[in-house]
Formats: sequence, C-alpha cells, structure tokens
Amino acid sequence: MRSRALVDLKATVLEFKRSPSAVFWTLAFPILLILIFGAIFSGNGAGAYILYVQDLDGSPQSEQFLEILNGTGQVEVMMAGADEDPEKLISDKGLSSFLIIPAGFGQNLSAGENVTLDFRWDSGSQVAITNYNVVKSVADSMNLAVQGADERISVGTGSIVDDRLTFIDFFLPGVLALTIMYSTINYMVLTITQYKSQGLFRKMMTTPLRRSEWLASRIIWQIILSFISVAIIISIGSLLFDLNATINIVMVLLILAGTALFTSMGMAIAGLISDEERADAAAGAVVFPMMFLSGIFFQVEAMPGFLQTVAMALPLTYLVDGLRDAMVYGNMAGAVFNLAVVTGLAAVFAVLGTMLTRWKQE
Amino acid sequence: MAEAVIEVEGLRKQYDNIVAVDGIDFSVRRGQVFSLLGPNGAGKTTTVEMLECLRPPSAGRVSILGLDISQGRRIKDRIGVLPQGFNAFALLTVRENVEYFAGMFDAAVDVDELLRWVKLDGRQNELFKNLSGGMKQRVGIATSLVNDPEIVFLDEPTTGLDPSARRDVWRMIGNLRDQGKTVFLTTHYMEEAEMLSDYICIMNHGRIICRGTPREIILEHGGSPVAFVRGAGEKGLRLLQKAFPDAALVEDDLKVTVHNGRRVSEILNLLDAGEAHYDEIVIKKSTLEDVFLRLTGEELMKEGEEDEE
Ligand SMILES: Nc1ncnc2c1ncn2[C@@H]1O[C@H](COP(=O)(O)OP(=O)(O)OP(=O)(O)O)[C@@H](O)[C@H]1O
Ligand SMILES: [Mg+2]
Repeated sequence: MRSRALVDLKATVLEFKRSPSAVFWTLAFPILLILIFGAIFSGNGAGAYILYVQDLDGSPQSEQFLEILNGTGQVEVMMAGADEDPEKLISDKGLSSFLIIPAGFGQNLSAGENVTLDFRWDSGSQVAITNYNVVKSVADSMNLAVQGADERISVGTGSIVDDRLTFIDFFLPGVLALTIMYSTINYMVLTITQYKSQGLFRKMMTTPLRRSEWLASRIIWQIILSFISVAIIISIGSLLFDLNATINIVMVLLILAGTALFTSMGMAIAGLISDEERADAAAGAVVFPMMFLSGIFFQVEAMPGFLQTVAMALPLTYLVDGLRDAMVYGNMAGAVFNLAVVTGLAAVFAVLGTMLTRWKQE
Repeated sequence: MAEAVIEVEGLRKQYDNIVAVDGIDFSVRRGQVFSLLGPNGAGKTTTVEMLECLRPPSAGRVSILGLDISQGRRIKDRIGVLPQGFNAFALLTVRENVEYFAGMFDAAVDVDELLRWVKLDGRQNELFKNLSGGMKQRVGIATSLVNDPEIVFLDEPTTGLDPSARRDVWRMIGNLRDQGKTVFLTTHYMEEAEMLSDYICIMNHGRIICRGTPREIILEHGGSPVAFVRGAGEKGLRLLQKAFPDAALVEDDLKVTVHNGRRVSEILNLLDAGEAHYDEIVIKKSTLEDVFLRLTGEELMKEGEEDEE
C-alpha cells in the first residue's frame, strides 16, 4: 500500500479542517442536539400510549380503577391475562411500562388498608413517564374519593431497566448512531460527486494511486471522525447531564461496523447517481427517514403499526438498538445480535458500494 | 529522426450509438510538440484519454514509450497528464496540492523547484479555490510534472485564460520542449498550435482530416495570399483588371488574390505605371485558422450534400 493512502488521508484532514460546514455537521450539530433535546425531553410528553395492565385482583374496586383509567383517554389500556408472565410480556413486546394490580387490592381497600399498585417501567422512556403520570393521577383521584384523604392507593414503581437511568442515557446512544449515519453518508456522497464533477478522480487515475488505497484512506478517516464525535458527545453528556451509560467493547465494535455500513451506503448512493445535486437529494431521502424513524427522537413503540414495520427495515434502527443495549441496558445478548445485523449489512453495502464506485470511464 | 514515443494504429472508440474516434493512425517522436486540433466533439479528449490509459479503446493498437497500454501502471510512472477542465483540491493550498500529487509517485521532483518553475513560489500558501484561472492552470501544469515525465499530455491547457495567462502557458510549453520532453497538446486555438507545434493533426468527427507541420498544412491547404490595396479606388481597379481578372473593389479598397506564380510587385508596377494613388498595401497570408475553418467547413458542406441525396 506504501504511503499513498496516508498522503490522501493527510489531504482529507486538511480539507475537513478548512470546511466549516463539514465541521459543523459532524461536530457541532450533535452537540446542539444533545443540548436541545436534553433540555426539552427531560420533561414529559403528551398523547395516549398503550399501557399493558394485568389485573390479578378482579374485584369491583380494581374494575372501577380500570374504568377510570380508560376514561381519562390518556392511555389505551390493553389487558394481559392473569396467568401471563409480566417479564416475558415486557421483553417480547418491547414494552417500556407495565401495570400490575395486585391480588387483594379490592379487599384491602375495603378494609381501610393501604394498597400499592405495581408499576414496572423504563424511567428513561417518555412513553413510560407519561403512562406513569396518568396512573398516578387516577390513583390520586381515587384517593380523594376515599374518606380520610390519606394516600390509600400509592403507585410503587419497579424499574424494568436499571433504576439510575435518566433520559439522557436513553437519548445519547441515538445521537451517536445518528451522527455516525448522516455525517458519514453526507461526507462520502459529497466528496465522491464533487471529485467526479471536478475531474479529480480522473486526475488521480493518472497517478499510481489505486482505488483501494483511496477507499482505505476514506474509511480510516470516517472511523477517526466517528470516534471524535463519540468522544465529544459522551463528554458533553457526562459534563452537563447525569450520564450513566457505559463504554465497552461491543459499543466500540458497533461504531466501527456502523461507520463501515454508512460509508459503503454513501459510496453506493454516489455510485448510482453522479449528478451532484441529485445525489445530495438522494442522500437526504435516505438520511431523513432513518433519522426520524429509527427510534432516536420518537420511540418505535409509540409509532403507528406500519411505521414500526418501516423502522424495522431501516439499518439505523439496529445501530441505535445495539448501542442502547450495549451502553444503557447492559443487554449484551441484544447488543451482539444488533452488531451482527449491522456487520452483515455493512458487508452487503461494502460489496455494492465498491462495485458502484467506478473511476474508469467507459 | 528521434524514435517514436507514441504509436497509434487503427484506434477506434465507439459509444452506444456514436463513434467518437473512428480509426486513426499517427505517431509522435521524442522531443516533439504534437498538437491535436479539432472543433468541439471532434474526439480529441477521447483520443488523449485512451493514450493516457484512462479509457479502453474499442479497437486498435496504442504503444506509449514502447509499452502497450495494457501496462497502464508502468506507463503512468513516465507520463504527466493535465486533464481537460482540471481542478485540484479546492481547500488545499497550491503547495499542498502539488505535494499531494508528488506523494503519489515513488520518484518525484523537488516541489520547491517545480513551484519556482511555474512561478507560483510566491503564492504557494494560497488556497486553490481562491486562485485566478491562469494560476489554477499553472497548478495543473505543475501537478502534471511532479514525476518528471517523458511525455506531457495537456488537454486544452489555455481554454478560458486571458491573453497574458495564455502566453505564460505557451512559454512553459516552449520550456518543456527545450528540456527535451515530448508534449502532446490538444487545443481549439490555431494561432497557438501554429506557433508551438512541430506536427499537427486536425480531427473532425473522429477522423484525422489533415496532418503535417504547420507550414506544410498551410502550403497544401491554405489559399493564395490576398493583397489589399487601400484607397486605390475605381482607377486602380481599371489598371489591374486585365492582369488580375478577379480583382474586386470593396468600398474604396482593392482586393487582389495573388495566385501561384504571380507576384505582388506586378501589382505595384501596374499601379505606378498608371500613376494611381493608394494609401497602403497589406498582404494577408492564409493562417492555420483559415485552413481549419475551410477544412471543417467543407466537411459540413459535404455532409449537407450527402443528407440531401
Ligand atoms: N463517456 C461518453 N459516452 C458517450 N459519448 C461520449 C462519451 N465521451 C465522449 N463522448 C462523445 O464523443 C464525442 C467526442 O468527444 P470528445 O470529448 O472526445 O471531444 P473533444 O474533441 O475533446 O471536444 P471538446 O473540444 O469539446 O473538448 C462527442 O460527441 C461526445 O459527446
Ligand atoms: Mg475535449
């Protein structure tokens, strides 16, 4: 390979440093995202989300509670059978909240004793936070109705994820994935189409530089850039917010595989469409749906059914899920599964991208 | 005669429905400035890029420095290329750009010396995107010389440049020739080709329609010189009409074609003998441009006739 790839890498770094727009989109934009959304979403959202409820009591009192809960119109109650295993339901359906009305709820209430509802949740999820608030307000309204005005019904929370998690823990892996995705795709599409239209590839072809050396330089650069963004985003997250996410080897591998995946995707787009403007539009058409449908800003769980299907078809969803599993939930099995999906996709797109990136003219 | 460094036989390039280069033959000798002329779309760039191993020919044989063009990597080490409409990295400086291309070759020349040679040593730290067209082209020429090539291909190096920037490029081409390098030039500018070239091929519609040294081409295809006798008027016309039947009056000036075997002094003698008054005599010889326009124009007419049939 000699040092030709390094000569190219050096030129790339210099061009990057001198391009304010590249610096903004790869380094400053993700910081803005973290700051803005970190501030906004630390509150709660609105709208009716699905809430799974398991009624282990079956008393008139528990039915009354469910009736009021339904009547709020702020949650859509789905009943789980009394014999179902909550843990299993939560993991199978990927739920972020689950309410259990314990056996003896009605009896204890009639006997004037305190009762506690068992609310299992992922406190980092905006859906779960909203559902919690609705359940809590229904409990409070029943408390008022009961004489004595004591807090007879309380809502006990049991986390389905680690208790210490905050919103930022949930949001940050998404921002990492997002930054890697759009900065990599945009940068590849932009350089390839520009080099083509400015005749730079043609000039490079007249030197001994090989296409593989050029590609190596690009991929190394994108990986460096990904890790720089990751370092910046994590620093901001821990300095300004209460970040508990962990860094581990699966996360590092996910970032490598994700960078390879989106670098190849950018190559494929630029290979298919040579025209600068059109390629830019095509990149947008790929980047934006992934940005909004991969569970970064809006939870996949909170989307209409058909959009959930779309989300499952988007490569970014797997990178986001993988990073969350690895960094937040400590779910290594899930993380490795997502890593496998991302790596597989990266391999497919690498073949496609390399095939489509032609230097030679016909 | 020096050895041939470029040999082309039956070279053809066909795209889906058009034949860009339609079977051409020529050879270029070491140390020559060889020019390929032709109107837009004649097939010049397609031809050079096949010689530069950038596009595969559809048919024909090309040998560069004794190597077949299938040996692209060995050829690339020994040739320099300025592509048509060259752009360097916009956000790199002049020096960084030249260093980039120098870094691609195992053996590269001294960058400082090269920058001095193209007279960019004073602007070496300016970004490429901020340079004027003339300076950009000098960067391009510098990048095509980083490997001290034996043959330099320059595809329209002066298009879009102002007259003084164009002259700079001419001077550099002259210097390259003095250094013993072979220069393969393509251009639209006849004046430039006439002045710089040792040998010229004029292309049109993928074929070479005319070739030779600039002198040979003008002698063979150029028309006879024309004498303009300014201010000679009706009287002058009457004096000359007998000896020069195609003399014609344009306003107050006489236009006389000096056909083969005739001399300009005959005109002067006739006018003096008749005591005619005139202001000055201007002789216009055919230039390569006239030849070019005539040849490519004739082709157009021929085509028109063919179409009518
Ligand atoms: N990649 C290609 N695909 C199809 N047609 C092409 C391709 N490249 C060139 N041509 C056609 O081949 C012909 C010759 O083009 P070429 O660029 O060689 O001309 P040229 O003499 O260099 O013209 P100019 O003076 O405008 O640069 C043109 O008709 C052009 O449209
Ligand atoms: Mg051309």
